Amino acid sequence: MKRLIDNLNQISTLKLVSTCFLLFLLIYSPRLKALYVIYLVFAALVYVIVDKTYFKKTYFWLIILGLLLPRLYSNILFVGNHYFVMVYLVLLLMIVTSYKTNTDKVLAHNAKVILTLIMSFAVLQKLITPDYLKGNSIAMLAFTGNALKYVFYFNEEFGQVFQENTSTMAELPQFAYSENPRLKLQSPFKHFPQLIIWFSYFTVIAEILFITALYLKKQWLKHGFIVFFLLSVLITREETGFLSILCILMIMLVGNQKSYYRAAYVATFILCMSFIIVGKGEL
Amino acid sequence: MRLKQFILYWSVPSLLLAVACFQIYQVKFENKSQWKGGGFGMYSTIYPFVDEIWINDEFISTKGLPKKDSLKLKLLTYKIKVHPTQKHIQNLLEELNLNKDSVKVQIFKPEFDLDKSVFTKTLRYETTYRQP
Repeated sequence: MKRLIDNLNQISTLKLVSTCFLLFLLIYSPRLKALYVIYLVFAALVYVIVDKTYFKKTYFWLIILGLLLPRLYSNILFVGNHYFVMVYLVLLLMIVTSYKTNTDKVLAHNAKVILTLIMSFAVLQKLITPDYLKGNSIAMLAFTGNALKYVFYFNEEFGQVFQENTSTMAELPQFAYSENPRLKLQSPFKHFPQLIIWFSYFTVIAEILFITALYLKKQWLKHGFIVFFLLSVLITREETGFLSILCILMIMLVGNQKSYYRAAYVATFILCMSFIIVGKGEL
Repeated sequence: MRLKQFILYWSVPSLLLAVACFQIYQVKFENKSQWKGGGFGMYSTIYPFVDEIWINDEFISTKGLPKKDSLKLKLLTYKIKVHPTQKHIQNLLEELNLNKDSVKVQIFKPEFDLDKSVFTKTLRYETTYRQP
């Protein structure tokens, strides 16, 4: 294991980030049903075989950007937020390969600021939305069994309750607003609705702690919390697409100084990729 | 030198900041969904695609339609659910062949009353569309 981690540590940050990002695109493209992305990854693989330093070429990233932008433009109302981050990542890789100065420092700085902004906006949007703090958003997931999926996975009784709730909720469009429809849902256990509200607040607190953790000096506490956060989101929400991108940003932030932390983020990234390959998770 | 430093260290975060601020502006003033548009508002609200569109007090459903028509209608309604602009509404009305002078368009979002474990709906957006 130590040898594996040492070998991983010898790879430059730019190369590791580029490889992870292209691997993500490769695995992500069939789920997107985006043919041009498949062509893009195919071209990238050919290029990797012919020229091992592909990731240092600005025009390589320029082509990738050129292939990602049309989808962003044509599907701007449908693409997830991580698609925007993918475009930002490619832009950053273009800039880094173009200037070729302080690569690791530039990547780490950008990763830190980008992660801070992403989490700050995530917190801000939740705080300015009364619906969120009332538990609406989490309730939709919780009553249908889509939150804490793996926690309830082995309980058949709960599964039955979630299934019945899903059927009840599907009836809502049958009623006009003027009829004031109020469909009664079942709770799998007594304090389930309270748990939903606590979980809503807990999520905001966890995101604030994530931002704080980015600026902690104690590395074990910082990365310990962030890895725990990423794995918790993976288990509760299966946001594999977004988590993969967050892992790539964390790999950028860590650089190759802290070998065990880098290995932890690469392992989490591989876990996300595995989930995507077997068709699990949201993209 | 300063420009180079800015490009290296701050250009990409600045772009992210600008896009996210613009998205929040659209959320606040144009009723855009927080889920889409690069503002990182996922899970702030219930996913917008489960919202309901009612036109002149009739629910717009894709059930029972041929697959091709259903897909087209879904796409048009999804656009309105994410960002209810006059253009998106006009496109949907044209698809539905609604040529009346004035059309009432409403979007309802699901809502929970967690004290009583009740699932209900509330008005998210309403407009009266007039033919140009």
